[in-house]
Amino acid sequence: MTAAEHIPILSVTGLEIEFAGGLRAVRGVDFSVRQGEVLGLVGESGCGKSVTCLSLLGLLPANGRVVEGSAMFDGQDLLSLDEKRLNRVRGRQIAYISQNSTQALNPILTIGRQIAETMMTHQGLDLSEARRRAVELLDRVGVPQPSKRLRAFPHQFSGGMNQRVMIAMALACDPAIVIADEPTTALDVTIQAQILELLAEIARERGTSVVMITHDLGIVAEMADRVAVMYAGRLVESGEVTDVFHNPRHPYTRGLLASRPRIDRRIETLTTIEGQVPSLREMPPGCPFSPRCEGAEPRCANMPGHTELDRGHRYACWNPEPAA
Amino acid sequence: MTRYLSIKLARALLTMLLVVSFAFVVLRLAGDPVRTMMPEDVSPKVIEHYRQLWGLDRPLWEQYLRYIGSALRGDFGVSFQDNRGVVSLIAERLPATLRLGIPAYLLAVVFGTTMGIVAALRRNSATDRGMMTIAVFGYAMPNFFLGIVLILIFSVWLRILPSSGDTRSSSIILPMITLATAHAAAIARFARSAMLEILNEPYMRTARAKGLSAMVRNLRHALPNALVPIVTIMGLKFGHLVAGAIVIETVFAWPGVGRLLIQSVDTRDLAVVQALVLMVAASMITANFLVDVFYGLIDPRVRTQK
Amino acid sequence: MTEGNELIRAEGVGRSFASRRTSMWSATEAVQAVVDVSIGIRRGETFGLVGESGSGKSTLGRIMLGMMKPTQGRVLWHGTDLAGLDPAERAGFRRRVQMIFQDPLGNLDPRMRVLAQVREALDIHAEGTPEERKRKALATLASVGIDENLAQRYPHQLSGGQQQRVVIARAIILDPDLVICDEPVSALDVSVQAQVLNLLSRLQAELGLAYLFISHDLAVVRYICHRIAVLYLGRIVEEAETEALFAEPRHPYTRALIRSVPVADPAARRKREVLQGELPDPGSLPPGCAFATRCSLATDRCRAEAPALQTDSDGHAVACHLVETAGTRA
Repeated sequence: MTAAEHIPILSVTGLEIEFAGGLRAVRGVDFSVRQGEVLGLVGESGCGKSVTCLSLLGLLPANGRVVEGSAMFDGQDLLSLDEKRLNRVRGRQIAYISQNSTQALNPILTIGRQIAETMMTHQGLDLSEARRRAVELLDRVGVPQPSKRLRAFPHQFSGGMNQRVMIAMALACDPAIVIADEPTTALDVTIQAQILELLAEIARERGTSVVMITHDLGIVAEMADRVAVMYAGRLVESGEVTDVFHNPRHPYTRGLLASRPRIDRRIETLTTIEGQVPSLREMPPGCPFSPRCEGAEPRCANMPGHTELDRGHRYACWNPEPAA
Repeated sequence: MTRYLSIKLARALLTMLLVVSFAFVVLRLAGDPVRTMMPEDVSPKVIEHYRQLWGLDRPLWEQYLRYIGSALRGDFGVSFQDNRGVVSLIAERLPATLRLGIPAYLLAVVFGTTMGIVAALRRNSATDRGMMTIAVFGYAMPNFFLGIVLILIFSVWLRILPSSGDTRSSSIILPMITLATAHAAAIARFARSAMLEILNEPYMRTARAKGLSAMVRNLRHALPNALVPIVTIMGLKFGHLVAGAIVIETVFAWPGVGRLLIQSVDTRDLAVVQALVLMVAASMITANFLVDVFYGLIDPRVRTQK
Repeated sequence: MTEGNELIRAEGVGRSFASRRTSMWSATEAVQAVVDVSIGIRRGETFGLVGESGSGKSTLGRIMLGMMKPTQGRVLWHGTDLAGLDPAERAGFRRRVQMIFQDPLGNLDPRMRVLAQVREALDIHAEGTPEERKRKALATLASVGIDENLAQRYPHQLSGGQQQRVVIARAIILDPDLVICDEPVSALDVSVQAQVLNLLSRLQAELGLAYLFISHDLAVVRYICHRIAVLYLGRIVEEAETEALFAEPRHPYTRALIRSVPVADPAARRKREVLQGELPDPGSLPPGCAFATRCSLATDRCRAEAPALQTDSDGHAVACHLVETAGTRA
C-alpha cells in the first residue's frame, strides 16, 4: 500500500443516531474510510450498519436523527451541513447504491434520463452531452446495446441489469466514495459475482473508495481491505480484513465467523451463538453482546472502550478472545 | 400502446352496451309503459293503438334490436309530458349543467390536487393539519347543507350574491363553490395519501442520494408517479359531475339536467329518465376510458405490457 | 441406486405453466418450469435441491408435497403413485409429509397462540385426551427450544428464529417421515441460521426424518445435505453425494455456481471465474443444452442436442456432453 492509501478521506467519530421514542440505533460509532480502499461494514439486521451510512448523506428516515458525532469529509462535517450543501456532496462526491435496484429506480423515467440527470445537476452538462456520457457509462458497466437501452425503463431490465445501471449512475460524477448498501442481496449468486467483480474493478480503475454494507462475511473477505463489525448499534471490532478474520478478538466476530457454513470445506457441527440480538427497547447496560457471550463477566455491565492493536486492529471487549 | 388502448376501448363499448341493455330490461320489468302513462279509464282501443305505434306488440327480441338501433341513431324517444324529442329536451338543459359543472370540476381538481400535494410535502406541519381539517370538513358536510349555509350568508345576510336561478352572471358563484367543495376535499385527501406513498418509495431516496434539488425530486420524480392514483379519482369525480348536479341544481334552482331529472322522475316521464341515466352512465364510462388512456401515457409499465 | 428404502420418488416429473403472450400476435406459450426430473429420497437422509431463481426447485418441492400435480411423469410414495392414492392413503401421506417455508410469520396464524397452532394437528386427528395433546405439544415445542412461556405468545411476539422453531415443531408433531424445507433459513440472520440448521440436524438424528432441502445457498446445502441435485432452468444438470459434488463438480454450471460463492476467508481469496450473461428466457430456449447460452465451453453439439443425465458407478450423475463418465450407467 502506498502512503496515499492511508489518508482517511472520511472520518466518522462518536456517531449516535436516535429513532422516535428515544431508541438509540447507533451508539458511539467511529470509523474512517481511506482513499481507494474497500471498507466492509458488516453485521446482522438491525445492527445499525445501514442507518450509519444513510446518516452521512442526510438520508435518515423522517423518524430518525443524528444526536451526536461528526463525519469529516473534504474539510467539512457532513452531519452539520444544510440540505443545499449536502446536495453538492450527494451523488457528486459520495454516491449511494442501494439494494433491490429495481425498486430503487424510478419506474416512469428512462434509464438514460436517470443516469443523465446526475451529471446535469452536478456538472452542468446539457441533456445531449449527458446522454452521450450515459451511453459510455452503460457500456462500461456491461449493459449490452447501451445507446438503445438508454430509452428503456427499469421494469424492462432484470435485477442484475438494473444494479449495473445503479452502478453507472453512482459513478457518473466520479465520486470519491461509493456507499453500496447490500448491493447484491436480491440477486442470484452467479449475478452477484458479476456485480461484485464489476464494482471492484471500476473502483480500482478510478481510485474510488467503497463502503460495502453487507451481512455476508464472504463478500467482505473477498472484496474488502478493511472491515468494521457492528452489533446492536455498536462497532465491536475493526481492522484489516486479514487481521479481523484470522485473529478475531471480539467474541461476536469469532462467533459470527464460526456460525456460517463454508463452501470450501466440510464442517461437522457449526458453532452457534445462542440467543438472539436484543431489541432496541431491551438493550442491556454495557456491552450489548454480554447476554449471549460465554466469556461475560460482571464488568461487562459497563461498556468497554476500544483496545487498539497493530495496523489499526481495534476491538471493544473486556475479555477478548486469545490472540491466534 | 395500440393494443392496450384497443382493449380498453372495446371494454368501454361493451360496458356501454351492457348498460343500455340493462336499461331496456329494467324498463320492461317496470310494466307495460302504455298502461303506466295512460289514465286508468282509457279505452283498450287507445292502448292498443299506442302499443302498435310504439312497437310494443312485437316480439321482445325485435323490440330490443329496434331499441338498440334507435339508441345508436341517438333517438331516445319522446317525452310524453310535452311530446318533444328527449334528445332535444336534454340538449336544451345540458349547457346549463356543463356551464356550472365544468368550472366547478376544474376548480375542484386544481384546488384539491394542489392542497393534497402541498400537505404531503409538508407532512405533519401546521399547513398539513390545517388543510386536512378543511378537507375533512368539506368532505363530511352534505352538499345541500353547504348550499343553504352559503345562501344564508351571501344572499340573505350580506345580500351580495343571488340565491337562485340563472339570471345574472354572478348567479353561478354559489352553486359552483358548493359543487366544487366536496369534490376538492375528496381529491385533496386522496392526493395527499397518494403523494405520501410515493415519497416513501425507495426510488425517492435514490433521487435524494443523487443530490437532486427538492424541486426536481418532487416535480419530476414524485408527482408523475403520484398522478396515476390521483387521476383515477379525478376520473371518478368527472363521472359524478352530472349525478352531483342533481342536488345542487335543486337547491339553487339551476335550470340544468339535474332538475330535469327530478321533474321527470316526479312525472314518471320514463323516456327522459332513461336517457338521463344512460347519459350519466356514458359520462362515467368515458371518464374511465380517459383515465385508462392517461395511465398509458404516463406509466411505461402499462404502455409496454401485453 | 438402492430403490428399496426410498420414501418418495419423482419419476420423469415435468411441469409446464401457460405464460403470458410476449407480443400481440404470438400465441400463449407454455413454459417448462420442471423438465424430466427423477430423484429419490431415502429414509433419514437429507436431499438437497439447489439452483438459482427460475431453476424450478420450489415447483418441484410443491409437486413432491402433492400440492401441485405434475404435467408429466409421476410421484411415487413408497412405490405407489400419488395420483392413485385413495382418500385414506392420501390422508396418511399428508400426515407423513410436512413442509417448512422460508417466511415463518406468513405461515403462522397471527391470531392464535403458538401452543394452539402446534396442537392443532393433534386436535384434527383427535389423538388422545386434550390434556395429552397439550402435553405433547409442549414437549415438541420444548424439543425445538421453545419454552412454556414462549408457547403462550402470539407469533409476532417471537423473533424470526423462534417463529421458525414453532413452524418446525408444527411440522414434526405428527412424527412425519419426510419434511420438505423450502429455503428454511434464508430469511434468518447468520447467527440464527446456524441455530436452526443444527436443530434440523439434531431432529433428524433423533427422529429419523428425511428432508428435501430446497435452497439457493450452497454453503448451507453443503453443511446439511447428504445428497444434492443441481437444477438449472428446471433440469437436473448434476446429482451426487455432497462431498463428491464439492470435491469434483463435473458440470460447468455446478463449477461456476460453487466458484461464485464468496468464501469468508481472506486467505482463500481467489480470482473469481465469473459466469457471464444472464438467465435466458425459458420460453425461447435453443434446442440443445439449456446452459449452452452461458457456457464458455459450449460446442455446436451442445447447442443442437440436449445432453442426457448419465450416472457413473458411484451414483454421480451429470448431464453434459463434455464430461466423459467412466463406467457409465445410462
